[in-house]
Amino acid sequence: MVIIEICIGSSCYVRGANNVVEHVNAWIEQFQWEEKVKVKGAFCMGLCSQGLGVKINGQAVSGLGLHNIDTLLLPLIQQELN
Amino acid sequence: MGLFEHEARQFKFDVLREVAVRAYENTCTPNIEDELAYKLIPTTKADFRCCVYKEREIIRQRTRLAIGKSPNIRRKEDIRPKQIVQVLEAACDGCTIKKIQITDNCRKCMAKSCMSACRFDAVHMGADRAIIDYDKCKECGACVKVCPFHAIVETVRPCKASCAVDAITMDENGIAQINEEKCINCAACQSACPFGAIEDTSWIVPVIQLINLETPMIAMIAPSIQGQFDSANLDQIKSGIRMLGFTDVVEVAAGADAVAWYEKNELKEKMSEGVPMTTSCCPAFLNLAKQHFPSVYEKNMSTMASPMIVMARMLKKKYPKTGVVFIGPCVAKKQEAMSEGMFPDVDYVLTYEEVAAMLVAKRIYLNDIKCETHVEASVFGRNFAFGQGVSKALIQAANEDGGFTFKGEYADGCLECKKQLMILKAGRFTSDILEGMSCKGGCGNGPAIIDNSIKVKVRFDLENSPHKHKTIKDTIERYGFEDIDMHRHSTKEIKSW
Repeated sequence: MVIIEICIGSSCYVRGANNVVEHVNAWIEQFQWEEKVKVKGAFCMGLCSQGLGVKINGQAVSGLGLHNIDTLLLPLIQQELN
Repeated sequence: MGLFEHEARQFKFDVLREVAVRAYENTCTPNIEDELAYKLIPTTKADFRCCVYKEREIIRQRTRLAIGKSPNIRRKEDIRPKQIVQVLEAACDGCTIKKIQITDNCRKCMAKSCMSACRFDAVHMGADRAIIDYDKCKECGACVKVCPFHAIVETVRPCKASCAVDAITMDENGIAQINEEKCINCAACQSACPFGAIEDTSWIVPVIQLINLETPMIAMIAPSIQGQFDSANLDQIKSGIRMLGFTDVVEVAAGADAVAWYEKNELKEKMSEGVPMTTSCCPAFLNLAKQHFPSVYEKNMSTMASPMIVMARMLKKKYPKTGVVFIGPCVAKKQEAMSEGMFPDVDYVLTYEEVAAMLVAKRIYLNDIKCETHVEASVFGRNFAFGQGVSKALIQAANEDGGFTFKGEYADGCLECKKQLMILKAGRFTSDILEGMSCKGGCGNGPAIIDNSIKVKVRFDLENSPHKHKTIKDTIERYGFEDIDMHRHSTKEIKSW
């Protein structure tokens, strides 16, 4: 099970955290990850300066923005799943 | 029938409700603005504005604000989280009223003091009465003051008249604009605008998103919630909010008890130094002092954090990894929650309006809920909700702890707060403590209340009368606030903003 924690604190929300949730939910449906990936909401992780706050199995993702959700986050999740 | 008599507030509520429904269903699409515009204005006949297209545009702007975005699409920056109070440009009437007008009361008298008072030669005598030449009139109001018949009236736009800090200006089309440097987010203009053209940004969507993701969150309710929801009692309100998806609901009144308890110590100290003190629980009053009277803010303002912050710190200490959402009648609290640096004490702030919208969206009927009575705070803490309540709690705290007497002054509403702060600044304040409440009558009359504050106060007093024996000390001992940092942080901003 891969647990993805997505920060939906006010700072991340205003920068588009809900887009991350939507993307991940779409991937779960597209790749049939229902049994493999769990999305959790989280509050400020203190990562505000490193981009949107996301942790994959407790590991913080650095440099995530709206422009690289597909190119940065998706490979990291796939890597974790393998 | 709707919840509000004010049609614009009802529209605001309808938008919040629809947004809440969609957020709970996870169906907030990028087209949500248009969807709601057509859902709420389905006809081709305009009922409120010049045409249905304008009405729909207003709904679109309301929707943007309800999902936490800037209402006006032409603005470059999409979201400015610190500025909570926003103008809906489509809804602003521009209030093309003439500021100075001569009424039928003009007797065309022989003194003609209006003409001699005018320094711009803008008043002359017509056939029946004085006439103003609006090309020359500078709207100084000199003629208004001198007319012995009060025949000249001065009308100020409601938003501008209500603003204590002169933060509202007009653009070239007469549309209101907020100067964000000056604005203290008190939302007086929001309450004053008869067109509902100034509203607060809502965080309802991220909160519901967190609920949907089963994130543990505690709701903290402001004391003024008691009596807001018709005849539902406080315990029914708490259960209802729990049913929205919160793990627990606690009363901020307990934090208010703690603030009163520790603030009275600070007051004692200040009195021994001969320095008058002001309260610090009202965020708009605090902003007013901080932004416009910095010397008073440094020297006189209590260093206590607000009951909301104190309570949140207590909860975060007890339950780390749990979110804290404050529910109150206040718009400035939304901004306060965001101004305490990284790892905010309070993650989100919702208003009563927004909670009511969520309750309707989830079809929760408070009056039908069966539950037992739990009293988490003293009536003194709960009374922070109304004007002079803080002073009364301080007197009670002083009595419970050895007893000392002090003289208090109460500033009711933003304009009065400003006046008292000016007196303080000039060093002519003669009392020991100034209680400042930015809303007239206190939080119970805040910008996001649901019911009339007089009705609410009656229900509030009735429900609280059996619990009067509870002391502030009881609350302090029950929760143990000793290990909690009670002081305001130096307000560092979140860097990335």
